Amino acid sequence: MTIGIRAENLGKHFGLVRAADSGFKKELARRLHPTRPAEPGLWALRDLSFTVGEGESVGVIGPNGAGKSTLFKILSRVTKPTRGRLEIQGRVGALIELGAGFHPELSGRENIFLCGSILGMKRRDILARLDEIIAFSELEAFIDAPVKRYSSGMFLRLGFSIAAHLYPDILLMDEVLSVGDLAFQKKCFEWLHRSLDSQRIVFLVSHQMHNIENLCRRVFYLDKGRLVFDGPAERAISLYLSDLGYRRTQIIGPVPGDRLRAGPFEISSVTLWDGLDQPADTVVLDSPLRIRLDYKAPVPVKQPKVEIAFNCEGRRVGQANTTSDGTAPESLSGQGFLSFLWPQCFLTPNYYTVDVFVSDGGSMADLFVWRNCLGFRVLAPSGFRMASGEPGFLKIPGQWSFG
Amino acid sequence: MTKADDLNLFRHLGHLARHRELLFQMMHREISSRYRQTFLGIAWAFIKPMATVVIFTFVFSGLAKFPSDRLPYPLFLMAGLLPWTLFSVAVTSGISSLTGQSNLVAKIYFPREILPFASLAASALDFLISLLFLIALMIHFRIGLTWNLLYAAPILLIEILLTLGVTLFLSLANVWYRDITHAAGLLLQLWMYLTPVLYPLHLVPGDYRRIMVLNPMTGIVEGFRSAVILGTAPETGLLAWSFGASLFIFLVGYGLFKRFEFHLADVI
Repeated sequence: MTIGIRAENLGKHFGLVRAADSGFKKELARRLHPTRPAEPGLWALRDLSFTVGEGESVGVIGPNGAGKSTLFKILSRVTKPTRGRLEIQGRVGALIELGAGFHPELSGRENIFLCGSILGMKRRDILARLDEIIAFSELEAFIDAPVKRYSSGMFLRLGFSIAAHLYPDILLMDEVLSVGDLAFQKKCFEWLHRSLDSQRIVFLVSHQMHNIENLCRRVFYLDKGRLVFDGPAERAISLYLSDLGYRRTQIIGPVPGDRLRAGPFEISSVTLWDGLDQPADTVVLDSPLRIRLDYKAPVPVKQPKVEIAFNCEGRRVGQANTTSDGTAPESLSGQGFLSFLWPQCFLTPNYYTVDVFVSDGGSMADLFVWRNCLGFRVLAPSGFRMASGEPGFLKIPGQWSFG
Repeated sequence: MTKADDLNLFRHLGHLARHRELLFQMMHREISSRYRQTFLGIAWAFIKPMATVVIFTFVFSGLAKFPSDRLPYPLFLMAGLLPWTLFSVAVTSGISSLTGQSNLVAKIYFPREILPFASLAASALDFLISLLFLIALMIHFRIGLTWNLLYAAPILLIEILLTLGVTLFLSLANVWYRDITHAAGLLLQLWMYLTPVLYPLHLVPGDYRRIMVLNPMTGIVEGFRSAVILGTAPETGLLAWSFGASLFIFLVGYGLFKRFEFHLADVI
């Protein structure tokens, strides 16, 4: 049997059947004001047409509310499309919410059987893979304890391990690569790489573009329920990021961003300081810019590598790091701060975001990653004239001479 | 899926049969998690009916002097309470079987009736354990067994059919209107008083009795009691009505459930 998916004009409409909208009070209000027009509902997906064949891995990207989850729900038959046709050849396995089927009172082992059968595995297949699943989860010592005693990391590890041993023909994965600590993430990533070589179809939803880029050749870019772009990963991602970057330009000041940590070390805040050494969210072109990282290191970190990267419109503009600047600190311990000074910031007037990476100087393993931790704006000094056309991101400092 | 398919019981049951392992796993889950982290454990399945019998015997026999067909009241009561409790506990826990596991319903596909079906398993276990209590009472009061005892099996099958039908319908409706959860306790209490659990059916005046026998639980409770402790065959007409009504409720409940199954994830 060949595995494949064919969708024609798929559409999904959410009407007013939501339970929250059908209370007695609302119903009464509707009767009392019959002239008030009914709310139109929402098309979560519209006019999606695509064909996916054997061995393809498809990334699905787009902002929140673009319809990514709805698409997965339709593919996994949890909900039906309002319009259109969908043909699926092959067994679909959704790795959507890890541990969704766990019962807190049951042991890890019992939950493997339960969760496995929810995901469509046969008992004998589960039995055959039981040791493998337990080994993958690294929970040998706790496998007979009730899962309510598990930490959230253990919980997710068990969930991923079960799902990883499902072997469906069509695998749907929604943001599951951000599971557990960085070491376990690496393991999941390797597992996924291996499984991509097989004949199956893989769909991957992620907000982490490097994952999408690494794992998928083809990418769907969804926005407001429409398939905006379907094609090579690099093009889809740069299209999405430039749309996103354009919107992100509104961000100014410290923002939550995406944080990842591998151990106790953490950067607690990232702040911007201007030429007068005042906290700021704007700097003027060609004046000093300082970024201060406050850290907490309950366990001393020896010779860390600290990197600060600048982004604009979804692209990396440049970076600075302690290794290439030859100023790596001997060790970080307790609480303190690191400060980076750019004596003459020559970013062209625009909106920028900052990523911070801290890694172990020896093993190069990431200790702390914080993407989009800060947004700031570069202003033009008075009298400055932007070049016409494409100014780029850097106003390259230099001296002209004429002879 | 067209409307004709919705009524196709065999198709649904075939689909369910392909997912039987999940059904068994879910039943196992219901049973094995029921008395986890309780000090008394499975003894609760014994204590609850015992306490109910003691209290009801005191109130209805001791104070109100209810007649009990010349049988000791605790025995009479237990034989009616047993099938009733199976029904009411299964319905009560089944109502929230979908809403209580909304994460599963919204995220993963499997035949949804597995959840309400599995919730029956735990109350069936309770039933089997309280059956031991009934047997103990029967030995204590020296009740002889007759071949009519065999009627208990088909009667219980009818009861399961009815329980599943009611549970399917109410668990589905509860997804749209959580009012069901709140109303159920009240309605089941009322239903119990309208079923001859605490008193024999023949005590009810004729006009009321004609209405009472429309309740499918009437035939089930009366039939179970006569087969098990009176040693007489159940009244055929009464039991036939119970069977017909239960089958009807099951088919309608299951049909509606399958009809609306695919909207569950959007509404829950």
